[in-house]
Amino acid sequence: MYPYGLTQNPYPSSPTPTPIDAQVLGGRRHKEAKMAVLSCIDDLNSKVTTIATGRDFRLITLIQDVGSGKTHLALHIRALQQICKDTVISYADLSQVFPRDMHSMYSALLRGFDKEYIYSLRKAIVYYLKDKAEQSNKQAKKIFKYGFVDFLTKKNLSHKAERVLDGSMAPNYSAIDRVLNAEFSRVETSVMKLIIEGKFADDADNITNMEHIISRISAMANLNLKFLKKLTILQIDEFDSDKRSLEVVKAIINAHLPSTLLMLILTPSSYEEIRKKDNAIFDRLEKANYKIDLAGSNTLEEILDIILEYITHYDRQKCFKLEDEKDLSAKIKVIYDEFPDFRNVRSMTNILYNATENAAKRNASIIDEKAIDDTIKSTHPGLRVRGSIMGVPLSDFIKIRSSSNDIHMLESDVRDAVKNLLNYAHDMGSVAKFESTNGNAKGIDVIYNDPSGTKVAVAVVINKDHTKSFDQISNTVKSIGFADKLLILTNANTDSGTEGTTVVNIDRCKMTDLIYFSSKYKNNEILHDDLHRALLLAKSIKLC
Amino acid sequence: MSAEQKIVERITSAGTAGIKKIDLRKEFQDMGIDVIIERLVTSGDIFIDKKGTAYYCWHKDYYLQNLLNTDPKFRLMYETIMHLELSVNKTSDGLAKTLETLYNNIKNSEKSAATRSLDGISEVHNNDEPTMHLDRFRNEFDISIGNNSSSIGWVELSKVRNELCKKHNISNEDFYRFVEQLTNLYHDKYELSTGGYEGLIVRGLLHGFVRCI
Repeated sequence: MYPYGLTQNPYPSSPTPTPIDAQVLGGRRHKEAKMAVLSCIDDLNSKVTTIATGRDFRLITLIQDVGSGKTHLALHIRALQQICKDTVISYADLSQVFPRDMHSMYSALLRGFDKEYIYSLRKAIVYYLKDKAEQSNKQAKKIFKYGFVDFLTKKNLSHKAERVLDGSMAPNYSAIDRVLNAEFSRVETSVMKLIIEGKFADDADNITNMEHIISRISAMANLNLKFLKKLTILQIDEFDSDKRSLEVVKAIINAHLPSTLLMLILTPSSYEEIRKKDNAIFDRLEKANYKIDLAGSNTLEEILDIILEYITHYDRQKCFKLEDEKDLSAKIKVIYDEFPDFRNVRSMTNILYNATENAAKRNASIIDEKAIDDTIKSTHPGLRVRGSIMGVPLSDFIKIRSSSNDIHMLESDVRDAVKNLLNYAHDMGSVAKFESTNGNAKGIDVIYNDPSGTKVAVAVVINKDHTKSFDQISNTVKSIGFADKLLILTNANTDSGTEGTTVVNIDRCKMTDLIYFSSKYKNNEILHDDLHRALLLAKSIKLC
Repeated sequence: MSAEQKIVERITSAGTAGIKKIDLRKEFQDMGIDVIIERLVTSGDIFIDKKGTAYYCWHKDYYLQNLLNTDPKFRLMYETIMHLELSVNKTSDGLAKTLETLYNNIKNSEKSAATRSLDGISEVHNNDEPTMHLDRFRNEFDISIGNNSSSIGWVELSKVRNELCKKHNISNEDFYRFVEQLTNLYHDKYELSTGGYEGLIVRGLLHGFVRCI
């Protein structure tokens, strides 16, 4: 069983999205981008009548960095049920097309259509011809080789049409030519014959120039509209500044393919390279009908939304509660804040995939700190929490950071930690004996003698409001008269020390180090490796 | 006061000069002084040593000083040991400081972590001298992005670098250190993208484009 009662790991494991992963779409910005594409489709749909014209062409650019979810969005749109009845979509990934020439690119576009679409178009064309035959069109009857024997055996044209579709009977192609030429262009007829033959994807072998490609794609778009009443969407992923790619795309844009929407997916880097290489195509991209922007696709808010969407999508029994959501969000926030390497949708889903597997193996009911810690240790072995002297493991780091949101608790923990660290330094002989504070000095937490006999008073001042900290520091400085030296440990980030007073600024990382040490010290878990680190920590905050 | 306490007090009052054992015996003749002295010697509270022909007693607090005063050989050895201890302490401190400096240097070179000030604004130090305040850099950076960005908002970092380095006489290293700090501190305000010919390395990839979100 997976965490949160899930029956499967909700996160994708492949480095690039698959159609199955793309069923889930999270993130406000990604959803807005999806709505923009749907809006463009709606707009085009409303303009297209039964006959498509060159005015019914739309261009969408989707530009964002690698790993930000562009391909995911394209695949998600391709599989959307709500647009299935209105569109046919070809998805071509140019990174898989090599060598890049017009033949290979055209072939990739043809392969990008799914099998259901090809079958439905073939069926629609065959039944169109059958209808013609039923309307006493002699040539149409010849297509199905319908004769007197068929009439006597009561085999109707539907039966013949089904035989053509299942491949048990070859139609009369000369008759097809004669029937279709009256109504369709030569190119459309040629494409329809290929479709009936079931050799649709092999058409790339028949073309000799760019004009052929354009006229054939145009013919297909017309056929899609006529027979299926659907718009044609061409999604070209990993579009770049390759000369051949630019030539094909420029030709497609210039041709104003009827009832067609061209969606180009590229990175800002490719966009800039296109600008430098080909002004004409760049100008066309600049004038795209929709320039979809995934700005902020790698922000914490967006990544959190995506991460949670995966769980809620697969959480059929609604086991993922609000407190689980808060808990997981807090952990992700720590990872996001501490490791710039994971400020990316793809990187974060990868961590979550492995952490989910880890938690499942241990039968953990949630994705716990250990799962995340183990994952990062195994997948990114060199990664360390930034600035930690004690080498705090990520699991402890997440726990401490989560509990340190309460500033009063944080102050109390740091105060205890400082006392424990001084106790430890005393045990190690780095500082001399402690003295009781006796309540005679307001704000003083501990008094000790350093090795040279100087009496040092330590005050821990931690507040959210730094002004409050300044007042507190000022009062403490005034009240101290019995010690030779005052050491103030604060988060107020000030260096306003006076003579005999040392102010040491401790950031969150130092505080985490202190609390981590304190916890180990209290539980008698100090190991040999920790000895030097603890003293270094004490020195770094000038305790000894 | 017990007999033992009386004897300890008497020996202490003699200071670094010590007191003859025979005088003690005379002074406390009605007590079993030998047994008490033997117990105090065993516990380390007093020391007995021969001075001339007589045995003297010292309290532990004064015996060391007596030795330093009377025995030049011991004094020399003591001073050598003290010197050695001082030297070890200094080396240990120096080592700790070096380690810390080394650690900070690595941290700085890896992340160029900003020194957070009260309002979260940072300064970058070059040769220990601040070259430009991060807040000011941010303003200039934003203006430059606005001036140079394409219709989709992205701009090559090299363009911004050229402009700002020339205008403010800052080095390329400082520029990228500032950019790294800015994009780390305000990661919800800036976005980096891969590609280009110069920029920041994130996840092992060169990120040469930037834009404001």
